[in-house]
Formats: sequence, C-alpha cells, structure tokens
Amino acid sequence: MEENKLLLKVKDLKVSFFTPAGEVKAVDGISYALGYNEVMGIVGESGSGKSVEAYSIIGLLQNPGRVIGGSIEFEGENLLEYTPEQMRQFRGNKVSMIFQNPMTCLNPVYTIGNQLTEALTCHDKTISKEEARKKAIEMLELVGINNAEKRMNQYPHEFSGGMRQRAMIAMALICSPKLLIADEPTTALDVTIQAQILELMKDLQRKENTSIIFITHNLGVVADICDRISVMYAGRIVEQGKVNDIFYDPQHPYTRRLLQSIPRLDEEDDERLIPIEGTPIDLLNPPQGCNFGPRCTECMKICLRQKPPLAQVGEGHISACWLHFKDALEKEGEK
Amino acid sequence: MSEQTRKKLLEVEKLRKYFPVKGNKLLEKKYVQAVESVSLSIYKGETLGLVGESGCGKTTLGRTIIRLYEPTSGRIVYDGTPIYDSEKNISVKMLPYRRKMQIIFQDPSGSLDPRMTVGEIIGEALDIHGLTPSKKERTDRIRHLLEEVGLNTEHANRFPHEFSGGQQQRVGIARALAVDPEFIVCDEPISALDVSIQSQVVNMLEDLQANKGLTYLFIAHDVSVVRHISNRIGVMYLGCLVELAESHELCNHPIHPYTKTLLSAVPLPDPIKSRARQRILLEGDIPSPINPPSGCRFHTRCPYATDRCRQEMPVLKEYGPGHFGACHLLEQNG
Amino acid sequence: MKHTFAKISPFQVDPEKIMETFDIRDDDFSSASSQEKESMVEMHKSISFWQDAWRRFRANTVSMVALFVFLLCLFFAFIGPKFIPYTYADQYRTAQKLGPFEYSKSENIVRSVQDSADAFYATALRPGSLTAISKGSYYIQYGGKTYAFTMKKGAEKCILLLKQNDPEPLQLVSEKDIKDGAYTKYTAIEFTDTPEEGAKELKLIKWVFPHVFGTDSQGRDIMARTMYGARVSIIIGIMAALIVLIIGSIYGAISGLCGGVVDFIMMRIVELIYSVPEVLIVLLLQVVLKEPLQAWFQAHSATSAFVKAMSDLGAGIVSIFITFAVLYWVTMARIIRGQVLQLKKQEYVTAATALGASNARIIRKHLLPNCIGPLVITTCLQIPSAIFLESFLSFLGLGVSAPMASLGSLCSDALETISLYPYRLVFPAIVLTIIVLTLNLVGDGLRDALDPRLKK
Repeated sequence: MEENKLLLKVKDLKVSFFTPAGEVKAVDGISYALGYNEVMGIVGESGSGKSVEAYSIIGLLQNPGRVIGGSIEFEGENLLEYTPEQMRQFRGNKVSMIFQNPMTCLNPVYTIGNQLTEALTCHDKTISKEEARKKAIEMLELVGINNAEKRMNQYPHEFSGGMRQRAMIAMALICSPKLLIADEPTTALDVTIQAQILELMKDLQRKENTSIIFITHNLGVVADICDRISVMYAGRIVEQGKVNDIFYDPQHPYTRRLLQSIPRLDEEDDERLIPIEGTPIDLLNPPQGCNFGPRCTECMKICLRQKPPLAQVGEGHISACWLHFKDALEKEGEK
Repeated sequence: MSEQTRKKLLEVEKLRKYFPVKGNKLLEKKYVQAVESVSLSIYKGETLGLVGESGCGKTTLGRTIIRLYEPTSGRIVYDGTPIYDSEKNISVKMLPYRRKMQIIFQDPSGSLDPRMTVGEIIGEALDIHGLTPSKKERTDRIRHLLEEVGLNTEHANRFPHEFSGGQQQRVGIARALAVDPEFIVCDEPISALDVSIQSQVVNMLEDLQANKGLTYLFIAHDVSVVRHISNRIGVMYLGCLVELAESHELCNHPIHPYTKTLLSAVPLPDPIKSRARQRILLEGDIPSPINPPSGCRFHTRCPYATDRCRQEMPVLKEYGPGHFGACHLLEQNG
Repeated sequence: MKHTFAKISPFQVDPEKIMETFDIRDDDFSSASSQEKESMVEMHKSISFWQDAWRRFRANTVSMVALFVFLLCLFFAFIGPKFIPYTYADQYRTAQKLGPFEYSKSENIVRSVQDSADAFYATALRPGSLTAISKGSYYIQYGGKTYAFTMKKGAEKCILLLKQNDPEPLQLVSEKDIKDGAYTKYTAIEFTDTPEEGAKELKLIKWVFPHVFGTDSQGRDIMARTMYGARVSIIIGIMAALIVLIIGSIYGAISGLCGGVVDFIMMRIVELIYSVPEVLIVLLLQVVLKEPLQAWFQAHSATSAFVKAMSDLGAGIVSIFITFAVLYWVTMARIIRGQVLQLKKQEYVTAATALGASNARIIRKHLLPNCIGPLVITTCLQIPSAIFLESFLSFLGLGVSAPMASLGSLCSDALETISLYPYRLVFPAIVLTIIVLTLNLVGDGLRDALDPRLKK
C-alpha cells in the first residue's frame, strides 16, 4: 500500500488544555494512519485522550483545549491549516461524527426530517427540497428505521434511545463522508440495542465503504467491528496493531493486563480477576517517565526516567514499552 | 453449600413497586410499574446477581428490598422477621435494620456529599447509630475502615472530588461497611468506573465477602461481571423476574428467550469468537413501564410469542434444580 | 479480511538508534522497586470548596475590581465620617448653599487664623451655628479644664479661638478684630469657674474641612450626608437581604422537602404574592404602617432595647423591612425549593437515608451546606435591589425621616434646586449607582465562582 492511498495521517499530534490549575497534556504526541475503507478502534479509559484526539480531527475542540503541535493530514491536506470556513465545508461532507449521547446533537425543536434535509442542503446548495427529502427517507430506511416517511415528521423526543442513535448515524452518513468518527456510540445504550447498532454499523460500513474511527472503552465492542486497534493510555498510544494481534498477542503490559482484568462470559473459570493496581495518572502532574510505570508490575528503572518510544514488534504491530528494548538488548548479548 | 445448610437471609414475595406519575389529562393518575410481583430469596453468604437493561426495575427492586422506597405491596422477610407485609399491614421501623442492610451506589461522585470530607462521610454512619462513643474510637474506626478498602488513612481529611472514581467508590464501600452490615445491595457499583479499575473493586468486594461473611445483591447490566461475582443470577425484564438460576447454569443453558438474547448480545473481547457468533437481534426497544404490554411483558419483542403470551402473564416456575423461568413456552415443552 | 491497511512505516524504530538517542544507563533494565514507582505519582494539594471558589472569583477581573470599589464604598460610608468634622445633622448657618470645595466666610477666617496661630474653633453641637456664639452661657472642655463664660449684653458675635501651648488657651475674638492674623481678646465676655445652669456646651471642631460635595440650603455638609446616607442604604440593603434569606430559605426548604400537597399549597401562595402589584402594596404599607409604628415605638422604646434600636432607625425604615418580609422573599423561596428538589434526588441523600439518618439531619448536614452557593448568590443580588427600593421610597418621601438621610432622600431633596445646584443630585446619585452596580457585579462573579454550571 502506497503512502498516497492513505485517507488520514495524524503525525505527532499534541493537544493541551490550559486550565487554571495548569497545562493538561490530553494528547501527547500521537501518530497513526488510516487507510480507505478501514475501521480503526481507539481504546482507552476516561482521560486517555481518545475523544480529544477525535475532536481535534473534526475541528471541534472546545476551549481551553488547543492543538499545540503535529499535523493532521486528510487526503494529503493539513487540516490544521484550514480556515474555519473550509473546516465547516469539510465537516459533514468529508468527515462526520456520532456521539455517545444522541440527544446532545439532535436539536429538540426540529423534526428529524428537518434536521436530515438541512444537513444535506447545507453542503449541497443545488439539491432541491424534494430530492433532499427523498434522500433523507432513503437514509432513514438504510439505518433500519421503519415507517421512515412518518418518522420524518417526528421530533427527537418521540424516538427511543436506539432510534435516536440510528437517526444520528443517518444524519452523519447522509452526505456520504469518507470518514466517520464514532465517539462511544454504544456506551449509553443497552446491550441488546448496542448489538443492533453494532450490526448496523458493520453493515453500513460494508455498503458505503466509509472509513471509521471507533472510539470506545469497551474491548468487546472493538473486537467485533475493528480492523486495527490503537490502545491509548494517558494521552499516548501504547500499542497499535491488527485486531487479532492486539487480542491474541498483546505486547504492551497495559494491553496485556487490561485483557486479563476483565471478566469474560466466554470462559468457564471463576478464577480471581487480575486487576491493574493503582489509579489512572493525574494528567496535571504526569510522571516523568512512562505514564503506565506507576501501575506496571514490570516497571524498570528506565521507565521511571524516560517515556518509551514506539517499537515495531510485528508486522503492523507497534508498542511503546522499554521491555521491548530490554529484549533487543538481550539478543544482542547472545551474539 | 448444600441445599439443606443454606439459610435464607432475605425473602421477597410478590413485591410490587409503582411510582405515581402525572397523566396527560388533568387529575389523571398513572403509574410506572417499576417492579411487578417479584419473588426471590437470598441465602446467607451468597451473591445474588441481578441483570437487565436500563428501565427493567433492577435498581428499584434493590432499593425497595431495603425499603429506601416504600413498597406498593408484597412481603419482605429479613432473617425470619417480616419487615414489610402489605396483607398483614406490617411495616417495621427501619432504623435497627439500617445497620444490617446497606447499599453501594453506581455513581461514586454523586453518592458522596461534596461538602464533607471523607472522614465525615464515613463517620456519619457511626454518629447516626452511636457506634463510637469517644472521639478516639471514632478516628480509629474511620482509619481502620479506610485501610480495609485500600485507602490511605491520611485521605480522611480530603474531599471526594480530589479522588479518582475508583477511590471514590472505595469511600462509598467504606461508608456502607461502617455499620458492620450483613447484607449489602451493590447497585451497579462498577458501571461508572474505568475498565482497569473495575476488577480492583470486584476483587475487593469478593475479599470483603469472604472475610466478613457478607451477603450481596449485586445489580449490574454487565452480564460478564455479574456472572463472575454471583452464585446465582436473576434476569429482569420490564419489572418482572424472567429467569433465575445458578450463574453457570444460566449462562450456559438459558431457558428464557430474553436471557438468550441478552447473552448473545454481550460483546466478547475476542475477535474470532465475536465475529463467528450469531447474535439474536431483537426488534424495537423496551416498551414503556407506564403502559406495559398485556400478558407476558416480553411478547412484543419475543420471536416466539403466541396468543397466550399476549393475554396471560407467565409465572416463575422451577424447570430444573434451582432453575426458575417465567415463560409459557417452557410449560408447553416440558 | 479484504480491507486495505495503512502502511505503518513512520513508526518503525530501530532499537540500536534508540540507544544513541536516549540516555540509557547500565542498571536501567533492572526492575524498579515499589517505592520508586510510588515516587512517580504525587497527589496534588487539597483544595476546599471555598478555596476553589475564591480562585475562580479572583480570576474574574470585573468582579474583583467591583469588589474593590465596593469595599471603598463601605470605607466611605462607615469609616469616612470619622475623617470629616461634620455630621449629617449639623447645620452651619453661615455655610449654606456652598458649592463643592467652597468655604463659608467664617470658615475662611478660621482657616486664615489656623495657618498662622494654630487655632481651633468651636461650635455649638445641636442646635447651633458656626460662629453664633451670641448671648447666653456656654462652657467648653479643653485640655482637661472646663471654661465657662457668659456673653455680655449687647456683645457682638464672636469666634472662639483656642491656642495650643498658651497659658491662657481659650480666647474669644470678635469677627471684626481678626485681620491678617492679628486678633485681640474679646472683652465682652465674662469667664466664670463653673458653667451656669442651662449653659450650652460648645463642641470643639478641630479643623476646617472643605465641603467636598458642597452644602445644602440648611448649611449641612453634603458629603457627610452622603456618607451617612450610603451607610443607611447599605444597612437597609443587608438587613432586608437577610430577612429575605431567612424567610425565603426556610419557606423554600420546607416546601421542597415536604413535597406533595404541602408543596402545592405553599407554591400557590408564592404565586399569589408574585401576582400582587408590588409597588402599590409597598406604598400602601408605608402609609398605613407609619402611624401605628410610631405609636408603638413611643410606647415601648423605654422598656425594650430592640424597639429602641428600631425607633432610632425610624418608622420609615422599619416599614421597609416589613415590606421585604412580606413581599420580597418569594424569589428566594423558589430558588431554594428548586435547589432542594434537585438535591433531594442526589445519591448521597439516599445514602444518608440508607444509613438511617433522620430528616432533620439530612437538612442540616446535607441539604443546607449544599445550598450555600445559591444562598450566597441570591442574597448578594438581593442587597442592591433592596437598596434600590429604599431609595425609590425615600425619593417619594416615604423612606427615612429627616434629619436622617438616605441616598434616595438626598436625591429627592436635591431635586427642588436641581437647576441651581445640580451637584447636590449628582453626588449621591453617583454613589448610589456605584454601590448598586458593584454589588451586582460582585453577585455575578460569586455566581460564576460558586456555581460554575449556572454560567451562560
């Protein structure tokens, strides 16, 4: 795959929040690339910077957050150099986003139909009202809303939670964006509804060939839908690889411990869980060395002083841990 | 534990909790039928898990059992003493029972008073029941409790907002433990926590149970966690208990169609299994508990619903040893 | 999987290169001890609710400036009168209708003497005049001694001079005798050892101060009156806000906590009061209450200290308080009710119930402390509105009674002569504006600081 076939290239992105208490490095130099038609999962706990990173791609970073370094290239163009007007055109047209709580981005005083057609006409001034309406109904049917004709005239509060999320997905996809950013789209939903939405997203991804950045804290959800996974911890990507590599051959201690610590329905043993001890770091006072160091059972002296660089540990599989360098060292010694 | 040695700590019979709501018309009264005729027993020293989706009444049931909500009707027996019985008009004073039954909440920050220090929060329970007459005893007890839940003793003077979610939840657990309870309702105690913290809290709850012989009613929507921690699991749907069994039995051989759906929808952190598995997808959403469907409450979404399901509400019956289900289909089959 | 994958080349890292770019020590790959791991994290310092609020408030420049200006106003109103020799009631007969920074003729004379002879002048306290030490008996206390004297019949008006460090410090001179600092002892008086019965005490005024805001038609210093007026207005504002706070919060808390029928009835009463035209009721109450209040004061002020204090304030002000107690607590009650309704559902209240806490304990320990933010904010915003109402009533002539001044009555008094002496209106009006404006801005700042969710 050549470099120019990449849809999105994020390079050394740094986002900080300047709070009265000090600078919070929410995203501290992350890089990744996303190809066409690819589903990338970003997994992390709250405060790992996974949502902030997505918001900076779509240019919706709220004060006091600021991108302070790096670049975001979308089809070769640096988004950080876009004017607000360009950014507005870019949003919705090329990239759109769905959120955890659909109620926050559906306007309660307009009908669903109104909002869908507006999303269309906003980006394509030439489209007629009739056409827009037809397209909107099509879209609602596509996301599995029955009675689309009737539903068009209803208000968001008349929709149930799952329906709202469907409507939001319809709205996000109505302009056929190349990239869809899904920020915890199923977290607020019940398991059975979550299953519906995941099936729908998988289905739509196949039909529309949209690339998706899927942000979640739920490892089970990403296992199902993603091609590649980035695991984030405290503003940095600690491990990235194909979904099978991450789940069956995790290299970073955090990923390994995380997979061990969750109770699983598919395994019989009722053994004690192996938790990750300690608490997530305070981003206001990040440790000097590895962010995961204080909670890591394999923490070494170097981890106290220096943040580990990313190392390639397999094909398309990278991990940021000094342990890999220790391994490399030992091999050197054998020679 | 064998069937004979198990002692019932808590018995709930046909417990009902309705919340009044305003209707559309003036002076019209409607009810949210949050808990509808639930009967179950909790044995001493066990963990009974309660799963279900939001709005299924599991939280209401938990709170009604310890009478944070006044039941609409039914019977609650604690350790052989009826503490509520709508037929016999029994409704005891709860203060002595508050020492025996405690609750841990879902939202760790919301359940701690932001204007109180951690020491004051834990100490409140001691003050209410007059457990520690001297100041020194009180301080010692608070320190001991903090250590018990894995917190630093010097944390007593800090305010809740200075802690991470996991630590706040530990404070909430320490508060519940302050009165030395026998029975604790864990109301989604880990749902609001980060994945890496959840297992810490689960392990701690397990340790506390082992050390103090506690009995838990563990309420959660995450089936995997409930299966891990519980001896038995009850599944609720729209206010009704639809299935109740030993956890392994329930997860491996679910008998109710809703339980089957729920289990198949749980995301597995395993890409190959997850993709290979056939999910049972339900149509639509949970109906409103204000106007629940007639008959079996699941019939609107159940793929096997018959006319009988639409008219008659099924009752919970034993279909295997300790395996209860509430479904007409089961009756027909076996 | 048929999906296309992105190339991950930018991340390729060569371990050997790493060894060059990073500072790697010999023992770096041995395990770290748990103490070393713990030393990586430090818990930041504990901030209480009030410290946090103060930090937010300090960050708000407008509110900080407003707070500073308001403190200046407080200084002006409460400590200011100590720095000027005049009081709100003293009438200086020769100093009538002076403009800002002007002196009366006799004050000018004293000023000229003061410079050269280290002199003071005295005046009768009340009623009295600056220079009219005319017929009659007087005494004055100075330097630990009492000087008594009687004006001879037919004697002229005179000025009392006191010379420090003089064996005979007390001297009376006639106005006409003072020329270019030269003066002679005025002979038309007789000194006696003890004051006669009915002698008037002359109070010393130690220096002559410019009438910064001028004087009014009765020769009263407008700055002194403005200071006293501001003091009265601020006291009324705070008292009224406290009355509103007490009645409103209790009423609101009961209504919110009890709920159901109690809440329904209590809120209908609130709505009833809301629907009453306030100004009309205020005016009626003022008029109706004045007479019985005065009668009550006269009957009881001798026996009760409370009534005495009330009667010192005057019937007008007391009826303003009554007005506030009757009408103005409704907003506060609604706010507190809303707050209590919201707090009631908080899980920590449920947790306290689960622990067996009584209702009284829940109110005392959980509900009230958590209401403090809105309580402080609403009270703070109530003060300017009370000041405004008082000024409005005084302006209509219904507030404080003469010679007591309030900012409103000062404005009202000035209105008669507005075309000739506009500054008499301007100064009290400016002070009133500053107090009301700064209090509002401080209240806004407090709201942002105490309850960040209310912002926007």
